[in-house]
This record gives sequence, C-alpha cells and structure tokens, in this order.
Amino acid sequence: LPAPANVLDIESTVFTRYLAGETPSDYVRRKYRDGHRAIPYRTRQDEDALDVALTVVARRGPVRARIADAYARVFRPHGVLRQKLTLLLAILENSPEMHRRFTSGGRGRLAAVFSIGGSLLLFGFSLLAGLFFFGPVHRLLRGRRPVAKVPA
Amino acid sequence: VSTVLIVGSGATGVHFAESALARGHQVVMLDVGHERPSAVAPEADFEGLKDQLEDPASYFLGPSGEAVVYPGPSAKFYGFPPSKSYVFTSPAAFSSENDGFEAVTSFAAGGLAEAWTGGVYSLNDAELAEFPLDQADLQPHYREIARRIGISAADDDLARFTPMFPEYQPALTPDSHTGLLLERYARKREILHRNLKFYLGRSRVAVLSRDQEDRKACDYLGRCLWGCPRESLYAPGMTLRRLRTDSRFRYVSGLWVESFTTGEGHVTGIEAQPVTGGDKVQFTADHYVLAAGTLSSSRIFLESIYRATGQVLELNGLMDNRQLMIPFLTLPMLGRPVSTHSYQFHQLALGIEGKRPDEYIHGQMTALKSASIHPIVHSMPVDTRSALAIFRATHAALGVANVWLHDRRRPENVLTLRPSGVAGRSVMRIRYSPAGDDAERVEHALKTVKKALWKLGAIVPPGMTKVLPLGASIHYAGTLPMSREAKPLTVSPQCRSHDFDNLTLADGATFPFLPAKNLTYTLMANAVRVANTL
Repeated sequence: LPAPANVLDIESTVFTRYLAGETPSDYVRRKYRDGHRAIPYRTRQDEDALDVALTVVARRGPVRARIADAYARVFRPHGVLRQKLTLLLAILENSPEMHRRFTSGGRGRLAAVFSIGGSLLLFGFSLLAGLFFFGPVHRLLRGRRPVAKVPA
Repeated sequence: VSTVLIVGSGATGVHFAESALARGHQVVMLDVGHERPSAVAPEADFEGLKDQLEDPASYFLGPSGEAVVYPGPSAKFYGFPPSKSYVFTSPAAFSSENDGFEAVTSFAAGGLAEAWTGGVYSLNDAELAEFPLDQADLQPHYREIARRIGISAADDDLARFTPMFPEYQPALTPDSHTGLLLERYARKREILHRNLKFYLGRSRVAVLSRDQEDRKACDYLGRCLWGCPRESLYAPGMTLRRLRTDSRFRYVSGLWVESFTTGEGHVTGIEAQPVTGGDKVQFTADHYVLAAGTLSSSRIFLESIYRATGQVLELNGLMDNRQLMIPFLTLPMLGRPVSTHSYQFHQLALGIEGKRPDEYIHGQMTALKSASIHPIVHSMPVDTRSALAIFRATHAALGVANVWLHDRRRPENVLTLRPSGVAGRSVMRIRYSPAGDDAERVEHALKTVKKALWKLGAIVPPGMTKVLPLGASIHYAGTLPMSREAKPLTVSPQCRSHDFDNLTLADGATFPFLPAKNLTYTLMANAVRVANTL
C-alpha cells in the first residue's frame, strides 16, 4: 500500500469528485489528513477485512466510491468508509470554495421531486451493483481480521 | 449588611447575586469559571464566516475535526460547536458514574445556559401544584427576569399555558418555513384543538428583538449555535460581566468547591480546591448559597455530610424530562430556497394538553436553516451522494420538533457518592429508572405530534425519530425538594435548608415536580424570589 499521506490525498481527491464533482483544494486535502487524527475507527481499531475492501475499492474512482458507499450504507453503516466520507463532507461544507454548493438554491417543487426520485433510483442501482460485487466478498470475509489495516 | 457566598455562576447564581446586591448584601461568588472565547468576525453571518475565516473548518469542526458527527447509534442531528466546548469541560477532580442516566454538568462562567437555546416558559398553577408556592408568588420575579434578560414572544394560543407579561418584547421575524406552518395552523387550529388538544404558537425566547443596554437586537446572522456575536441571545455570562463591575461583588474563579464545613446545624465555611492544583482555600460568610446546578449542588451537599459524619447519604427523587427528537419534512416547502439569515433556533413552540393539567406536553419546533449538514446527510438511509441531492431538494422543508415530558420524584432515582475515587476524591453516582408509564407516554406524545404535523402538511420520515436517554435534556431537579415540613434533606418554601440554617439551595434541586416546560426561566425567577427573602 502507498504511504499513508499519499493514500489520504488520493482518497480526498476521489471522494471529493464523488460528493461534489470537483477537485479538492489544498485546504480540503490538508483538513482531510488532519481529520484522520480524530476519526473514530483509528482509536477504536475495530475495522475488519470488509472495511478494508470497501475503502480500497472506493478510492479507485467516483463510480466505485458510490457503489461501495451504497453497500456500506446498508451493511456497514458506521464503518470506516462511511466515517471517511462523513469527515470529508464535514470539511467540504465548511470550506471557503465549496460551502455554498451545499445550500439549497430553491429550484422549485418539481425539480425537487425529480431530484429525490432520481437519487433514490441511483441509490437502488448502486446498491444492486454493490450486492453483486461486495456480497460474495462480504460472505467470504465475514469475521476476518484485515491482512492490512486501512491506511492512516 | 451581610456577606453572601454563592457557589456557581449559572442562571440561578447570577440572578440570585443581582438580587442580593440590590438588597444591600456583599456577594462572593466561587466558580470553576471556564471563560467564553471572544466572538470571531462579529459582523459576519453564517455563510460569511466560511468565506472570511482563514480556517473555517477549524472553527466549525475543531482543529482535528473533533466536532464532526460520525455515523453511529447515538449520533445526533447536530454537532456541538468547538466554540462552546468551554461549557462542558470538567475539572480533573470531577468524576461521575451513571446508571440509566447521561449526566451533563458545566463548570463554565455562566453555567449550562451558556449553551442553551433560549426557551423561556413560565409555569402555571397546575404545574406548581406540588410546590409550596403558586404562580402569583412567582409572577413578579418572572417579570423581573424578563426585564433583565429580554424576552421576545407573541400573544397567541400558547398563552393559555404560559401567560404573556408586559415586559416581553415583540416576537422575532419568522423564517419562511415557520411562517408557512403558522398559516396552516391558523386554518386547522379548531381541528387540532378538538381532536389532538394540540396548540401551536411562537416560541418565547430570551432573545432581543429590540436593543437593550449594551446588547443589540437580533440581526438574524444565523450564528446562534456557535455563539451570538451581538449578544442578542441571553447567556448568564452577560449578567456575570455586569456584576463584576459592582465593588460589592467579588468573583473568584479557578476554584472547584468540594464541600462546606459544618457545626451544629450551621455551615461554618466552604472548602475549595484550585483547579490548577495547590492547597485548599477556605472561605467564610454569613450566608451560603448552593447554585451550582442540581447535580453539583447535590454532590457538594452530600460530600459535606460525608466529611462531617462519615455517612454516605442517598438523595432520591432526581428528575429529568424525557426528550423526543422528531424530524419532519413540510411538503409545501420542498424545493424552496433557504435563507440562513434567520434566528437559528426554535421559532415555534407546541403544547399538548394532558389528561391532567400537570401532564402537559411541551415542545419546540426548529426549521432547519444554518446548520451542519453532514449529521443529517449521513443519517439518511441512502448513499452519501444521493443523500446530499435529497438534502438539497428538501433543505427548506426540514425541521425538528423537540418534545419534553414531565417527570415526578421517585425513590428509585438516586444521586449519591462513592467515596475515595480518583486521588481520594468522591465520585458522584446516579441511578435512574424511567417511570412505569414512560413507554406509554412516549408513544402518546409521538403519535400526537406526528398527527399534528400531518395536519400542518409535514411528514415524519420513518426511522428517524429519536427517544433520547434520560439525562440528555439537562433539566435536572428534585434531589433536595421544597417542603413545608421541616424534614431532613429538604428545604423550606424559601429554599432554606432544613439541615443547615444558613444554607440556601437556589437551583433545580429544590423543585418537587418537573413540568415538561424548559426549566431555566423558572430557575431564574425562583432565585430572585429566594434572594429577596434573605
């Protein structure tokens, strides 16, 4: 596995593209690295092989991140990947460059309904894909300790 | 002229002190006294802070993201801001063991109300039925507190539960979500009253809608949770600051009061430990007042008896309001723009009549405006990207109703000590079991609020309602209750201890019943009433 700081920079880049469709600023990257000092999984040391698998796949690109996230939301809701995405979202919503993206501009009720419906559909597809890819892996890895820790 | 020594600088301590000074007494106040940091960028609004601060993530989340709300079974819908961490920092000497109760204490200058949301609701005679006093006894003191702290309110349907006083300022300007709910309520109020006994009105809040002395009227910066830079939202630290300009008032901070010394039913002095270490400090006075909050005052009381007699007593009857957190989605608000230029906390309050008047259910409704997004997004039952899109579409429609249920003193709910904890100091121990009808009352409140919200055009998303653990509402009371009979471990109607003749308890420990309404207004009014009897 690459050096931790490098891995975290890759994660912040991929996950920012997944969540906001943009490349993160240096500020976001730095805050993401700093945030790993207090992220719960590091103090609890309770990640397992599935956490590692979900995180490793998620950092390979925004689409894979979405699929892994959808699977994690159902089967590992408090796990490592969800914690990392929550940390990044908290940073993005408080970053000078991006915070306004997260406030509703008010595009009307119809647009809102379409947005909700579309998001639910996409979640459904992502979850199906997640079940296809991660379901067998999950069964295989159940209860196993990770060979390698989630970096950082 | 006598010297009054007050332990604690919270809402009760500072108002007791102000009234004692007005009556010509000298006042010494002992406190740990963690200080509030000064406001950053005082003119900036919520969004402006994120643009103007050099490191906004540190301000909102802490330097290493300590205030990030991570997914978890006990995750709340909001994060606690680092700028308020001083409120809940405990001295190293303090520790507690809790069974069935989540105890929260504060050692801040200004106490727990430094982090409150400003809800102020006077009690009525039905709620005071178990007190040795009635609403008429408290009314002049409620009005005095309203003059001191500034309260904005509207004369509406809630006045049947909590009367209006002439000192109140006009209500704050409602946000668009609040306005819509009020419009719908006006159309449905007869049905809601008749079928659900549900009443809605504007929150009574300790927020200025007009300038008062050196405090400015609310300018709708949307920064309430992080600390109002205009001091429109009242906090006891403001009164403390004013008291400190009086030459007859002495504020000694950095001290953790462990116990008082006694002799023949009399308090003879106070022993305090510097929080930074060093020798104990002794103080003497003519009269002693415990105003450290129900838990800390009870701990000091028990520790004093333990040191004097070797007896570990149990104080029973500890109370706290069961709190329900009910998120809702107001469908007509879907897709509307959100303005963060608004009073951030609750602008609506709700009341539900109980079978008996004292079983009244109380709540406050907050429309979501400026807030941390991530706790809400990760709690949605979909992936983060989808949850973000849904959040943007529903932001203007989101709100939360916080609902409280009354509590009664019961012998099984106990506050006591375990002597010789860390460094030989006693540990505060709490055991609490919910009332037998707790589940039934929770279900009734949830059902009623959900039905009322539906009538108002709002739905409650399934699986997102939270029944908070006991202790979470931080409305503690009942360990040394008022009693007309001079029984041990009680106080007189003037809150004078029946065990020690020169000791007054000025906080919620003295309340023999805990109504559903937010307690702080009554705590302050009662402190003034009691101080006026010195």
